[in-house]
Amino acid sequence: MALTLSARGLGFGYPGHRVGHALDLDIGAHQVTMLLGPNGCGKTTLFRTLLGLLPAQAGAVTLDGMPLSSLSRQEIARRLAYVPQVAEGYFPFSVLDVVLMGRAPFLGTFEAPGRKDRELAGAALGQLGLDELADRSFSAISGGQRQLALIARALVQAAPVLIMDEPTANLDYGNQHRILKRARALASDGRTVVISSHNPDHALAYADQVVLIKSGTVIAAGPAEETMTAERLSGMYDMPVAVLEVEDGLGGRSRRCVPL
Amino acid sequence: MTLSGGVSAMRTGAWAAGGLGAIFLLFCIAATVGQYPLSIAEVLTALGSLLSGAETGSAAETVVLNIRLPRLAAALLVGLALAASGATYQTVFRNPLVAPDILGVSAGAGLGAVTAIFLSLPVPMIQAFAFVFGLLAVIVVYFMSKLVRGVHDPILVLVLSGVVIGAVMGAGISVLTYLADPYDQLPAITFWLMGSLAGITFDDLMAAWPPVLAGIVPLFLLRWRINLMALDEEEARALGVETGRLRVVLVVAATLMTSSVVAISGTVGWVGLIIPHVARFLVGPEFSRLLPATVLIGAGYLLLVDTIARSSAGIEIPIGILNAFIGAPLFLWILARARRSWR
Repeated sequence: MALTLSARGLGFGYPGHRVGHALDLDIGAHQVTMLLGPNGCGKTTLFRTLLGLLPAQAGAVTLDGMPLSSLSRQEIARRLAYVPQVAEGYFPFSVLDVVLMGRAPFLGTFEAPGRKDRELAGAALGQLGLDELADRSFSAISGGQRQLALIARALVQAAPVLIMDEPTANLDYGNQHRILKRARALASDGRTVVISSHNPDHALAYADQVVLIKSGTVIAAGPAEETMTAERLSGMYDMPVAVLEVEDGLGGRSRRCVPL
Repeated sequence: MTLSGGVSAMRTGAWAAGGLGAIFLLFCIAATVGQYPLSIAEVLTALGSLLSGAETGSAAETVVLNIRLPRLAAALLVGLALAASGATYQTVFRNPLVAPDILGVSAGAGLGAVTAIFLSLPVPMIQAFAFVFGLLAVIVVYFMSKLVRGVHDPILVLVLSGVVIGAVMGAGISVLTYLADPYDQLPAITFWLMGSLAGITFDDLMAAWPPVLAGIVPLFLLRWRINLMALDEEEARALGVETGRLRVVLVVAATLMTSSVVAISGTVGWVGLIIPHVARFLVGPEFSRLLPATVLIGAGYLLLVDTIARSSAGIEIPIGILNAFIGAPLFLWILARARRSWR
C-alpha cells in the first residue's frame, strides 16, 4: 500500500488543551479512507493538524515522506485540498469565482486567474454537472450543490489528496450518496480521499479503509469490512450495535449497521 | 468559459471608462457651481490653461484653479479613500457591517490629529499621528472582539468593539478640546472636527494624495488574492494563503488611506460603509471588480454631495449632515438585507 499522508506518535490539540495523543495513522494512496468516531473524539482537530492548520504538539505528520512542518502553506496546498463543511457565511460570490479560488496555490501573490485557470474551473464544474450554475451566487444554490462546488474547487486545486470534513452533514439522502459516489470516483481516478463521517453505513458502502477514533486515539484501522466489527462499534459509540449482512435484492450482499 | 472571462474583463474595462467619463463630467459641472457662477466653457478653458501652462490670470481661471480645483479634488480623494478602505475592511474582517468610522479608525485618526494640533505640530506630523492612532484603534478593536469568546455573532461583536473604542477616542478628543488654548488651537481643532472640505488648501491636498496612493496600490496589486480573505480563516489557509501576513498588509493599507484623508477633512462618516455595498450590489463581491467600482462611486458620490452641500443653500450645509440623511436609511436597508444574504 503506497503511503501519502501519515502520522507517528501524533499529539494534537489547542494550546493548553490536548485532544489526542500517541496517534499513528497511515493513509493509503488512491483509496477512500473514512474516519469514524463519536462527537468530540477529536476528528476535526485531527484534520486541522493533518492540514497543518494546527501545529502538532508531539510526534509529526509526514506528507510524501516530508515532515509537514517543513512545508510552506502554498506547498501544502498544492498537495492537500481541504473540502470544508458547507458554510453560508460567504459574500455572494458566483460559483465560478468560488471554484477559481482553488487556483490560489498556483498563482503569484499579485496574480489573478488567467485563461488556463478559467478552463480548469470550467472543466471541473462540467465534471460535477454544475455548468449551468457557474454565474449563480454561491449563497443562492442548494446545500448539495454548494458541497459539489467546494469539491470542484478542490479539483482545480489539483492536489493528489483530498480531505473532506463531514461532506454529508446537512444533506438529504440522495445528495449524501451522490457526494460519496463522487468521492469514490475520485479515488478511482487516482486521488487519495480522506473523509470524516458520522455514518458507519457510509464507511461500509464506500470506504476502502476505515480508522476508528475514540478520545483522540486510534482504536482500530484497516479494511472496512474486517475492521468494523459489532464489538468495536458498540464500544466506540457506547451503545450496542449489530453489523448485519443484507441482500440488496439484485443478487449482491452488503453490510449494514443496526442499533440494538 | 474563456470567452465569458474575456467578455467580462472587457465589460469591466468599458464600465470603468464610462465611470471615469461620468466623473470628469460631474467634475466640470461641479466646477461651474458656486458664488461666482461660471460656464462649462470657462471651466474647460481654465483647466486647459493649467495643462498647457499658459495661464492668463483671468478671474474665472483664478476661481477654478485656486478655489474650486483643490476642493473638488479633495472631495474625489476623500471619497475614494474612505470607500476603498471600507471595502477592504469589510472583506478582510468578513463583516459587511464595518467601515473606517465603525471600526473606530476615523475616531482614532481624529484623536491623533487633534493631539498633533494640540502640540502645535506641522501637517506631516498631524498625518503621522492620525495614522498611528488610527492603526492602534483598529488593532485594539480587532483583538478586543477576539477576546469576547463563546458569542455566536462575531459580526456584531466586532461592530460593538468598534463603537466602544470609537467612544473612548471621542472622549480623548473632548479632553484635548477642553484643554486647548482658546485663541490659537481651539479654533483649529473645532474647524477640523466639523468634518468639512471647506477649509482644504492646496498644501493639504498635496500632503494627502501620496499616502492615499501608497495605500491603494497594494490593494490593486492584491485585488484577486483579497477575495480569499472573505472565506473562513482555515479555508483560506488551506488554499495556501498566509492569512496573517496578508491581513496586516491590507489593514495597514486601508488605515493609511483613512487616516491621511481624516487628517485633512476631519471625520466624514457613512461613505466607507455605504459605498462598498452600493458597488457590491452593482458588480458583485469579487474584489477585482469591486475595487474599481468602489473607487469610482466613492469619488463621484462625495463630489456630488459636497457640491450640493456648498451650493444648495445660502450658507454651506456641513457635509456630515447630508451624509447622515443619505447614509442612515441606506444603512437600515443593508442591515435588513445582510440578515438574508450573509448569514
